[in-house]
Amino acid sequence: MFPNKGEISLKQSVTYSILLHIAVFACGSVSFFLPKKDNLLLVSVELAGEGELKQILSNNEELPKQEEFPKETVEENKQEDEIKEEKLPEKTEEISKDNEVPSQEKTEPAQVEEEQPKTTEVVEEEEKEEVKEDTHEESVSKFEEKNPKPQPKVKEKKKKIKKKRKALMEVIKSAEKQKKKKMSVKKLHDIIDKNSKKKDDAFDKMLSGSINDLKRVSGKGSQGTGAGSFGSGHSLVEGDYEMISSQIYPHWVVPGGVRDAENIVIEIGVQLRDTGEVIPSSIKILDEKRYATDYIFRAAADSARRAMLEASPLKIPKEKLELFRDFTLRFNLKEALGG
Amino acid sequence: MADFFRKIIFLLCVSVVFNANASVVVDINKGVMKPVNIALNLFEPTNSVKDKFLKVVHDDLQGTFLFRPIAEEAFMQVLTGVYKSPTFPLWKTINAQYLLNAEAKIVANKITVNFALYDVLSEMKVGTFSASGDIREWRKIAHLVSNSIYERVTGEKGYFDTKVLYVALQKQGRGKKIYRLAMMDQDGYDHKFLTDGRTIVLTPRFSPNGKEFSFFSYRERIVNGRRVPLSASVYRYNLASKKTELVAQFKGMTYAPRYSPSGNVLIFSLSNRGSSSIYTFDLITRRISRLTKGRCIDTSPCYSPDGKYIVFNSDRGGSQQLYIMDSDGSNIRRLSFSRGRYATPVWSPRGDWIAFTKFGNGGFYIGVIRPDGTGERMLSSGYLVEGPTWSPNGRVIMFSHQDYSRNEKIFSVDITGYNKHEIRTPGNAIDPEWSTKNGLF
Repeated sequence: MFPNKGEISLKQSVTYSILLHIAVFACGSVSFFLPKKDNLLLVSVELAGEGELKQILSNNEELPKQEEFPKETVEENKQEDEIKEEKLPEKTEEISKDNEVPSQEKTEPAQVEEEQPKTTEVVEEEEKEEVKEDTHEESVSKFEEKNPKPQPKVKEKKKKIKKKRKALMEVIKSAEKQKKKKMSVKKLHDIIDKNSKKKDDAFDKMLSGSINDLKRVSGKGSQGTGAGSFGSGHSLVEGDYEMISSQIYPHWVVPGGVRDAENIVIEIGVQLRDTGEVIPSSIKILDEKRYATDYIFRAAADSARRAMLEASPLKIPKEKLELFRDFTLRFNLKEALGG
Repeated sequence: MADFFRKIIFLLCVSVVFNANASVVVDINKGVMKPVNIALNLFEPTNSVKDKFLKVVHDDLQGTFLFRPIAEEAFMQVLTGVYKSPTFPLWKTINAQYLLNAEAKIVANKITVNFALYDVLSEMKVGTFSASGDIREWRKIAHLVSNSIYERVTGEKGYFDTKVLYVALQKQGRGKKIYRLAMMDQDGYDHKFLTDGRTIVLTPRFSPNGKEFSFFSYRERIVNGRRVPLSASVYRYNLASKKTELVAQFKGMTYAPRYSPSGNVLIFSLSNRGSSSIYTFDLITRRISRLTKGRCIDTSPCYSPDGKYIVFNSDRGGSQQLYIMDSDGSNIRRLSFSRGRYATPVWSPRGDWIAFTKFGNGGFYIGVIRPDGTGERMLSSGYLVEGPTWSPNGRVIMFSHQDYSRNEKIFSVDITGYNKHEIRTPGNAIDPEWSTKNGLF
């Protein structure tokens, strides 16, 4: 009898444990998809979007809607559907039609897990790797090569599911970020409206000015090599460099035939008045040491200085004048002599 | 509060970036080649040398193609003294870019010139200078004034107080020619004959210190209507003592003796049985050394300024091309590879270029090439142009120029290829040689 009791108790305990495992798994899976309370709401979005936000506010426009992301996902879904032939795009289409940021409540794991083609690609790569391993192990039997064992397929499916879950999580997180970004921008909007004190205004002006100046610096480049954008709405393009150089080079008398001409590049700092006139006292030859010791360089620098003075006043459109208020001219003797 | 600190950090980052990059940079990769306008003002109370003095400076500067002197009639201000400050707007009005304000004083046959150079556009005095000497040397002093202006504006040494040797050619009846050595200022003035024409003289070459020059001479006689050289000799001529000294006499024909940079060695080519090789002759030990061998024609050797290398022309590769070798005759490598024949290579005093004569495409050219074989370009061409020689600053080249009517003249051209013009000589002239030093005479 004792063994019978033991058999019964074993069956019961196995049953209980299975039920408990199922319960734990169910609870765990539910909590796994519950929204996490994190502090990522105030990520750098605030500073990066401030200039744009001000412009938007000044134009009384609505805050930007995050429409692009769902559209992209739809397109990606279409591509993926062609490959996978799964019946999942319906709900994603709903999301895009609503033009709302996808939330955790509306999206279900099984529906969204197909929305990330990148993860799909990764899965495909892993599948390929597994197939390679299988074929390596079973290379002895041709039959087995042609008909791989069913067990790896199960593994593949499991891995697919895992990857899809990961993809789902990424989508959810990004959706959260979009939503919270929207929220943080709204908060910022409110803060800016409320905090209209002079100090803050002055600070913000200084900050925006610095941003503009920084952008101007990022626009630093030589003629024909690049362009920078400006916070004031005016951009420095290749034509602007050409506009300046075309006014100066006809006055630059190139000292041809001098020794070591290929090693002579003269950089001169200059400032302009509102009229575009060169301020003579602002002209500064940057390599002062070489100017004092190298007579050929000095002569070339003098010729460059004369060119600037002769070209003065420079004809610059008013909206661009601020960009060339204080700038540097680089006279390249080697290039001027034909390289 | 967090926002505030974030903004502060952001501003600090911005300021760091600003310190690294001050402003927008605009590249100027083009320019123009044109003369600089210069106003030459000389105040000389007696007016005894003013005009001719100014004319020398005017011609010196204008002859370079780098300056365009402004006529005195255009001046809007009269400056009566070197210490008078110019009114710059008045000089800007006449488009003067530079202003020379000079004052000359003549006391007891001595002339003293003080002068200041102004950059009119910058409204700055860029230099003050002074020169003095015997009144009979007023031309030389004028050249020194030109040198000072040239050096300040171009950064390179002036060459206006230099001399040029050449062979004056006097044609007589029955095709007979008289060859005489002659010397003149670089602008063609102060011309002198140095030999009487009884012997044929060729290839005069200055010594590095400029105190003497070597030349090649031979006598000839007519045998059955043909000219046959009797003997070929290398001589040296001392400019101070005006004496000629025989250096060496050789069995074969000798060509183009040149000094080494030290001045102790002469290098030349010697022909023998249809071939020609390069030799050196030590002027102190009087020892001769052969540098090249073979059944080819190696001629026209010339040392590099540092004395480490020798450039010459040779037909060893099938056609007449330029070659460079080490000063001991080793490590011979070809320099030119273009079609045509190359001859008379001459190394620039700066060492950066080698000038040569080239014959190709039915014409003669004067060209330059870098010592590494790159940058070959032609500066001048003509019916017959040959024998380039460098100015001491390595900026200008003189050469022989024969036109279609067989008139032989000396021309000069800037290294840029601009400003080709004739140097005035009393008669036909060939084979110029520019002095290696300034102010020796």
